[in-house]
Amino acid sequence: MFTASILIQQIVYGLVIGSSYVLMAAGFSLIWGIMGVLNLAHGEFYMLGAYIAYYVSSLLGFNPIMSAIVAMAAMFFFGIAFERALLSPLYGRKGWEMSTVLITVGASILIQNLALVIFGEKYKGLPMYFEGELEIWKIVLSYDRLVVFLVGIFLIALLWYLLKYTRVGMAMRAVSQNQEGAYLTGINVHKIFYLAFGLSAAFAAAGGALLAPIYFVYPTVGAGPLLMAFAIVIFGGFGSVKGAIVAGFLLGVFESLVVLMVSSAWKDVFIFVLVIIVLTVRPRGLFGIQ
Amino acid sequence: MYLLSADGLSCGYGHSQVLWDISFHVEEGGIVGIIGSNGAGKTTLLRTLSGLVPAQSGKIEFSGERIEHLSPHKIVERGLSQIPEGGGIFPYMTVLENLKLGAFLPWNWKRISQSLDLVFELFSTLEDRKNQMAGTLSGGERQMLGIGKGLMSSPKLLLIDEPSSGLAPKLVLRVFDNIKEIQKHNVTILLVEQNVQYCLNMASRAYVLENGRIVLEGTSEELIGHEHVRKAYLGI
Ligand SMILES: Nc1ncnc2c1ncn2[C@@H]1O[C@H](COP(=O)(O)OP(=O)(O)OP(=O)(O)O)[C@@H](O)[C@H]1O
Ligand SMILES: [Mg+2]
Repeated sequence: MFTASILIQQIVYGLVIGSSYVLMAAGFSLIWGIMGVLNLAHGEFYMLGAYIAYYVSSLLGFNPIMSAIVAMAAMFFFGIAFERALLSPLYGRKGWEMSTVLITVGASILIQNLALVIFGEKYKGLPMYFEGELEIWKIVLSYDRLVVFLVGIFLIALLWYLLKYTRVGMAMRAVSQNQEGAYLTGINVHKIFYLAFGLSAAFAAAGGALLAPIYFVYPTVGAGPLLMAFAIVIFGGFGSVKGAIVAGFLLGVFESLVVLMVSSAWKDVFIFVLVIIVLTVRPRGLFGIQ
Repeated sequence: MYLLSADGLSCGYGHSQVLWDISFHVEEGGIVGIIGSNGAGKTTLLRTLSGLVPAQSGKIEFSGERIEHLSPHKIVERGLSQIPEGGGIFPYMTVLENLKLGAFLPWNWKRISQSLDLVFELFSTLEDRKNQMAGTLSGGERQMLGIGKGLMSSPKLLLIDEPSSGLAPKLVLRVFDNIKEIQKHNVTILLVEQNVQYCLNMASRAYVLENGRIVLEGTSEELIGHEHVRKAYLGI
């Protein structure tokens, strides 16, 4: 059997991964809530964020926190450009939300292949940046992981604050709850669309950038996190950022425990069985709106 | 010069035309009414004025500027706000957050606390319920919140779509009192109502909309005395 400390250790690892999942899923959910768009290229934002962090760290020697900031800033603008170029021409057409599924799948494939050409298929990894590890009650946590976790928590709190208290964040929630009401309130809804897209891309990039020093980076590295974002958003409730936060951590821990108790090969199966159970018992997810 | 005027306005949804050749005006100060039965096109007219439905032809002038080509947020910026049916509120936000969003425009955002004081003075219920989710308010409270939110945008002209819909008669009186109250704060009002009696009591002038056309116009006294209005709308 496992000792308590191994179990706790694994839960802590789950929270670390969970923080990255939350960053990924919160933006995915936000875009669904605000625009009704299922952004299937969201995993590529994660992948690009991870590559940017990788190159900035390995070429310029930036620390992981700085690299994550650079990745977020770059991907914020990339996200806006993506929305302006590929999605905004569709607005107002009948059923445009559905056509975005095709467009984002296409963009996802295109970006993956470009990454393959430009960055190569080789897995890229970074050496440890903060050497050493923290040990409390036999639980060992490398400083790298600790930093990932703390920065992740900080960013999640930042996103929460943005949405809850700032003028633009409130406008984003307004658009997601009553689009026509938002128009009549004087909110420039299309501007909110691209700002939300930029924000969502930046946070996905943070998820990728933060895990770059721990895991490997490769052109299809975004596929897993996208699938995970799906599971989290179903679990937490479509369009709910609060749901994404709670479900992201829960599924991160759940995944870690499955890896410990069963095997890593089974983790996706377990996660999707869990999601199917949730869908059966509570179709709108934990915090979903009917 | 009128605060708002429409000239030869036509519009519709896709291939079905809803409004034909609408011309009317609203002078500054006071309340102007628009009455008409279900499906006459009242809501569509307000949506067109707010830029939510594009005008197919004709022009709309507000404060001396053409606005029919502007997007909805630009129209709000110029001082023309609308309270749609149901209040146009955000159901999963608190009453306070809804009111704050009413002051979304930068120049209103800066003076949010003064505007809040004014709204709470008019509607003390909203202050008591400021931390309640807007979606859980009763119909009357929701209507009040819609009006409060509209006031927060400090509009020159407020379009109000059927404030009495779904309310008990006693509440209707309250809501109309509220509307009279805000009119005292230099807000001109264009009021759409199916409740013709009330509407004509409130408004100084009114237009009658039938099948997408304006068929009658006049002062409220004239309309109350008009045979067609008495038969078709007042049931006398
Ligand atoms: N989004 C839409 N698409 C197509 N047709 C619409 C749409 N909205 C309204 N209509 C049609 O336009 C006509 C006028 O509708 P409108 O809502 O303006 O009427 P109204 O006078 O406000 O009626 P009510 O008193 O019931 O609110 C109706 O025939 C309606 O079916
Ligand atoms: Mg109507």
